[in-house]
Amino acid sequence: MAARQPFTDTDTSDEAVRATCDDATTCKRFATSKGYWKDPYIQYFARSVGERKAPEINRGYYARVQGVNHLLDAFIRKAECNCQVINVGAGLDTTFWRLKDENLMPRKFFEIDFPTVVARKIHNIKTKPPLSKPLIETHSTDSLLLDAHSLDSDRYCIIGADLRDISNLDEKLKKFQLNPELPTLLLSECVLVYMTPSQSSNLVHWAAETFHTAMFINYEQVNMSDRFGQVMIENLQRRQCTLAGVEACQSLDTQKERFLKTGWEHADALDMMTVYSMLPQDDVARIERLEFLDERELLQQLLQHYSICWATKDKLNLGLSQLVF
Amino acid sequence: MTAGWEIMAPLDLDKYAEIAKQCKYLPENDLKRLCDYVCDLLLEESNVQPVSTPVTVCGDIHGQGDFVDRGYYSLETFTYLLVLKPNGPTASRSCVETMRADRSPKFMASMFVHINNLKLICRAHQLVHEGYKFMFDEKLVTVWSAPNYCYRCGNIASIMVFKDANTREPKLFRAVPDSERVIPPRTTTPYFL
Repeated sequence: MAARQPFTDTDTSDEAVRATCDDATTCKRFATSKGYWKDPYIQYFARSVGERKAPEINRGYYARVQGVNHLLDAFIRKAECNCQVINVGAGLDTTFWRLKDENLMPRKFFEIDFPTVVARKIHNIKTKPPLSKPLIETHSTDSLLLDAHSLDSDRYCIIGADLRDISNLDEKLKKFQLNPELPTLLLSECVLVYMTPSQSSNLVHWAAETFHTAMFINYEQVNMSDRFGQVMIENLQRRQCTLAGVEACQSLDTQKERFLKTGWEHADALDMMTVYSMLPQDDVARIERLEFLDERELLQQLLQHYSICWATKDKLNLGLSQLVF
Repeated sequence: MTAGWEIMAPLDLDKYAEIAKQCKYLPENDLKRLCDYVCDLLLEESNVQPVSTPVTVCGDIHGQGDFVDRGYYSLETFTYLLVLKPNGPTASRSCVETMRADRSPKFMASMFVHINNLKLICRAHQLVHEGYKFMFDEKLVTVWSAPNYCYRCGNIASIMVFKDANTREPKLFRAVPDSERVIPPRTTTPYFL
């Protein structure tokens, strides 16, 4: 009988990465409960509001969600919904349900994450009608294709896979009718930083090779070579979470470079402080009144160490490189 | 017939001090009594409280040892400060600077110092990465005493020691290394993940 493999460093690290999904979910749950933005579906993934989060964390998640959604929605509108969205490392994200409510659904919405995360999400979807109903409504037959680590329907598909195994990822996506001819948006929020630069490079290269008209939106750390970055690396290491890809997070230029050198035509990047200043300021004023922030520099320091980078290739000439804030 | 007034044991400040020094907090009723006691002391003090040198000025401490936020041990730190108060330190409330829209902070600081015949304004309440920072031709110094604020900022902290009004020396310090501190189990990491 084969001996069970001992827990490797990768296993522990992967477990810590999977745990970040809970951090993001509970922070978004708390922020939405305070009124920062509306998300009627997140309660089905995180039952209780949980511990209070600091105001700069709430504001920072607001900026992240608003910033990413702005670009995502602009892409879908540009393609007139005749497109695909692939959310890599999606965790317990609720974007699919938001897009359905707002009549902005792409032809198909794909989500990928580790099999154990996906299994949890599928369980939640299956057992909560507000989550399953929209899937069933948009599906042509009475039953959804379902197994332990994947769920497929006409408009929504979630796949358990390891993003570092590109051939397996490609195979699974194609099995679930991924259409390389459709303009495609790929989205990663704090995902690439957890894999090595080489592994993330393979992923973004695969995307550039697979789609002729596409946008890749990447939200994660930036400007990491300072003391703040060092403290973050140490803090996360203490919970066994390794920022294996932090090398690509040195500057806005390194974030853009990883796309430009793997076949993407165009890339832009902004730090989150800039994004925050470009969001609709009346809504920013509204959320700033929700909670008093005692030290504005705390928010500034955080926002300056995160960025949104978006890369495009545009064979169909949709004007993707003109999508801005 | 009783008058209906509770007869309470006198405040056991020594016992409270022992507990606070071990980085523990008091039972709720005891903490409430201590708060009431210190409130009475603070009410008797004026907004401007004279102190004599030598004196050490401390800035914000946030339960890395803030008054109940931003550190894991805020409650314990606050309790310890309350226990120290009857015998000692002068706690300054936030210095309220009223600024007219057309006057710069530098102008206001210079004017305040000149009119009041001061050598220096020493204040806190603002994060300083280098621990302390002189501004406005050295008429004002900000002292910040919470190292690696929020366990994230990576900053150095300081206290300012005045031997006399003309002799000052900043003392810098870093956060205690992780290997030497106790981190409570239930904490969310203060980043976007």
